[in-house]
Amino acid sequence: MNCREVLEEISLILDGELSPERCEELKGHLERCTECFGRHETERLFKDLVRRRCGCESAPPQLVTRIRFAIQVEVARSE
Amino acid sequence: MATSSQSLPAPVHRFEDEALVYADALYGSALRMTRNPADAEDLVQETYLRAFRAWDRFEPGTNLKAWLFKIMTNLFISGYRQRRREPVTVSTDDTEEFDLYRNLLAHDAEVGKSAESIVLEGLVDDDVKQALSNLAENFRIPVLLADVEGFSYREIADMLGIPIGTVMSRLHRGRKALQKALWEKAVESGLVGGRS
Repeated sequence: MNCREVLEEISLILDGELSPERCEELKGHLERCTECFGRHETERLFKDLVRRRCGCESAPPQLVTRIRFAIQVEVARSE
Repeated sequence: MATSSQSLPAPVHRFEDEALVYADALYGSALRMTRNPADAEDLVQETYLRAFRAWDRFEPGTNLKAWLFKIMTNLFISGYRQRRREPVTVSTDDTEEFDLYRNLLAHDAEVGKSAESIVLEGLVDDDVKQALSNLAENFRIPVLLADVEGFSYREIADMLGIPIGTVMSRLHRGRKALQKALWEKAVESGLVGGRS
């Protein structure tokens, strides 16, 4: 396994798209290769940053109220 | 305004109990899609109405969150974007050669050995939200669905009606463009001391 192969699959590891066996193979390489490890770590930090910074929105309470009301209207209309 | 009524049929209660759990996630993604709180609220409300009308076709035991996101993504692609003003989007043409690892290495020194990056952690929520919102739609939606919502390539391909290979290439280019935009933001904010 060379670095080029590993780099192509770094996103697949982080996105959970590889088989456990393939993940183990790649992790073996990452433990031995400073550059591939650093690139994996960079992509991991970046993916984690996007999730934490963008995944924290709360729906406004009035929106949930509006949705419940719209569903009730829908039910009443179909009866 | 009434909220939940005792007289509503059982399927309505089941729908509300099971589906409204995802209101925060749907609203967050709707905000990134529409880039406007009022449009995001309308999109989420319409999503729930469509989902409620199709509730008898939802297969229990399958992924409800993915089902709701598929409805919302399709609604957005088919309708909402036509009504929107066309905003500024970031081109991904010159992002291929951008290398976040090399840039961080020059600044953080210990990248790969530390648990966090000084540069990345210095960016605030709005920096990242804004950068994601500025990506062109073709790249923004796959990144949103994969990195914020954690959907699989197959789920995203199914939601967008595109092949898995296209999902992967859009994710690759979208992430590169986002990394470049965030690096430029870090430079502009003084998180990176004059180096780039």
